[in-house]
Amino acid sequence: MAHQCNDSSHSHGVDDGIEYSLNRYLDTGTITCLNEKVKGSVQHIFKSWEDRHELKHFVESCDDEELIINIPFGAVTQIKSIIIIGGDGGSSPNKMKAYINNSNIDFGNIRSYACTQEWNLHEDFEGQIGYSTKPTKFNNINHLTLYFPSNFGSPTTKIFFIALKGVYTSAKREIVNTVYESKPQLQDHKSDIFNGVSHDLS
Amino acid sequence: MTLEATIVCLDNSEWMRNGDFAPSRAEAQKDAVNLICASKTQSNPESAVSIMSMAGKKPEVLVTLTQELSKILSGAQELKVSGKIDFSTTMQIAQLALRHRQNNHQHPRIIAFVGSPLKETKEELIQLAKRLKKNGVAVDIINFGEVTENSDKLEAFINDVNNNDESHLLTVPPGPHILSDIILQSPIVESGSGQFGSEFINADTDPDLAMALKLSLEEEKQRQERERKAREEANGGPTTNAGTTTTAPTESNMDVNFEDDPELAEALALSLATDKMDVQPSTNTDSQPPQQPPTDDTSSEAFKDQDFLNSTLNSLPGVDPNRIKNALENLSKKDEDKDKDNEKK
Repeated sequence: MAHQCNDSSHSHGVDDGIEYSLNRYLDTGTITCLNEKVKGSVQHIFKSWEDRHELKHFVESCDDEELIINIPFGAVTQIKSIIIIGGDGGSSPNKMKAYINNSNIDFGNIRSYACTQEWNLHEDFEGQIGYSTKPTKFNNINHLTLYFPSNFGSPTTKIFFIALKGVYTSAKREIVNTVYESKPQLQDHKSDIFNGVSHDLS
Repeated sequence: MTLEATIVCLDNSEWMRNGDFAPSRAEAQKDAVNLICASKTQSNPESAVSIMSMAGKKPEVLVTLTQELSKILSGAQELKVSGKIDFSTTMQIAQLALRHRQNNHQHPRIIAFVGSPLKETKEELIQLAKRLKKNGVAVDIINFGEVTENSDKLEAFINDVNNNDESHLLTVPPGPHILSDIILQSPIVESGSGQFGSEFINADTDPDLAMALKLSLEEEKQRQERERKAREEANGGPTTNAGTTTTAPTESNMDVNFEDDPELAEALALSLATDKMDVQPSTNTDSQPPQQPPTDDTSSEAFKDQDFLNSTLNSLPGVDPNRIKNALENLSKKDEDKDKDNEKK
C-alpha cells in the first residue's frame, strides 16, 4: 500500500501484522493498567491479529481521560512498531508516550521521568496505522509502559486493541540457577577436555 | 488469599485517651491492629504489612513493609499518644511508601483508623480520594470514636476511592462492644481485593497450587455444612438420647468414617462399651474422646452444653473435633436404628 501522508513517524497498511505480532508472546495476566474502569479489562485488549476488530473487550478510563498501561515481558524483546485501535466519538487517545524498563510508574511520578518516545496518534479504527519506534532506543526491553494523556475530546478514553510488532528473543531475564560444590568431583562433570589432543605452536 | 501490600495507619492523637472504648480508644485500636496484621500475613505469606502513625509531630512510618508479623506487632506497641492527626499527609506518605514496595505484584491497600476529628474539608478529601483511586490503591477506614463529626466526610471519601467494591468504611459508634470483634466480622478482615488476587495466583504461580487450595476450601465448606445439618437433626431427634450428641455402642459394620479413623473407632467403642454397663445414655453423654477422664454427675450437665463441649474439645491437643463429630453422627444414626429394633422386640 502506498504511503498516503507525509508524516514519517507512522506507516499505513500493516498487512504483515500476523507475522510480526508480539501479542502471542505476551503473558496477559501480568499486564496492569492504572485508572481503568473495569479491573482486568486491559488484559483482553492484546488480542490476536485476527480478532483485532472485536468490540466486546476494551479498556476504558475512569473519571478522566488518562491511562497508564504496564506491559512486562518474559524475555528481552525489541519493539519495532505499535498499533492502537481506539474508540469512536472522540474517545480515541491522541497522544502516546512510551517509557521503557521502568515498572514503578504511576500518575504521581510520571512527570519526573523522561519518556523514551512520544507520538501524536490518529483515529484508527482498522488497525492500519503502525507507529514505528526509534530502533536504537527500543532494543533490549523487558518492561514497557504506555501513557495516554489525552484523547480527541470525549471525557473518557477507550482502547479496543493494542498490537506490538517486533522481535522476540528467547533470552530470559531470570535468576541464575547455581550449584555450589565444596569439593568438586571429576566424575560429576563429564567433559572431553582431558581427551583432546593439543599441539604447541613453536 | 490475595497478595497485598497493606499500610495500617494508626491514630495516636490526644483523642485516643478517651475511655469510651474499654479500656481506652488506644488500647482497643492496638488489639484491632494485631488482629488485622495477623490476618493479612496469614491469608497470604507473601503479603507485606507496614505500620504508620498519623499524629504526633508528623506522620511517620514506624515499620516498613515487611512480611514478618513479629516486627509489625512490636512496632505497633511503641506508639505514643500526642498531637492531632494529619489525614491527607498520611495518605500521601502511605501512597509513596506503596509505590516503592519491593514486590510490584502486591496489590496496594491502606487501612486507616480514624478516632479524632478530621481537619480537612470534604472537597480536599474527595481530591485525595480521586488521586488514590487513579493510582489503584484501595482504602479501608475504621471510623470510631468521633463518629458523628467524621461520618459525612469519610463516606464521601470512600465513595470516591472505591473501585470495584474494594474499599470499605466501617463505622463503629462508642458502646460496650469490642472493636476487634466488630472488625473481625467486617469485610475488612475477611476479604481483601478478592477477585484480582485469586486471578493472579492462578495465572502467575502454580495452577496446581491454586486448584489444590480451591478444592480443600470447598471440602471444608462441605464438611461444615454436613455438621450443621447433623447438629440440627440431633437437636430435633428422638428424646431417648438426651443432650446434643449421644452415642451407643456399636459392634456392627464399619463405615466410611471408621475406615479413615480405625483408632478413633476402637477407642470410642471401648469407652462406650464400659459406659453401657451403668447409667442410661440420657444422663451421661459419652461424646468425649477417650483421653478425657470419665464424667460424673456434676459435670454431666456441663458437658451437655454443646458450646462448652466444643470449646473443651478444641482446647485438647491431638483432638480433631471434625473427625469426632463425623464419627458420632454415624453412631447416633445407628443408635436410632438400634433403639427402634429394641422397641419392636
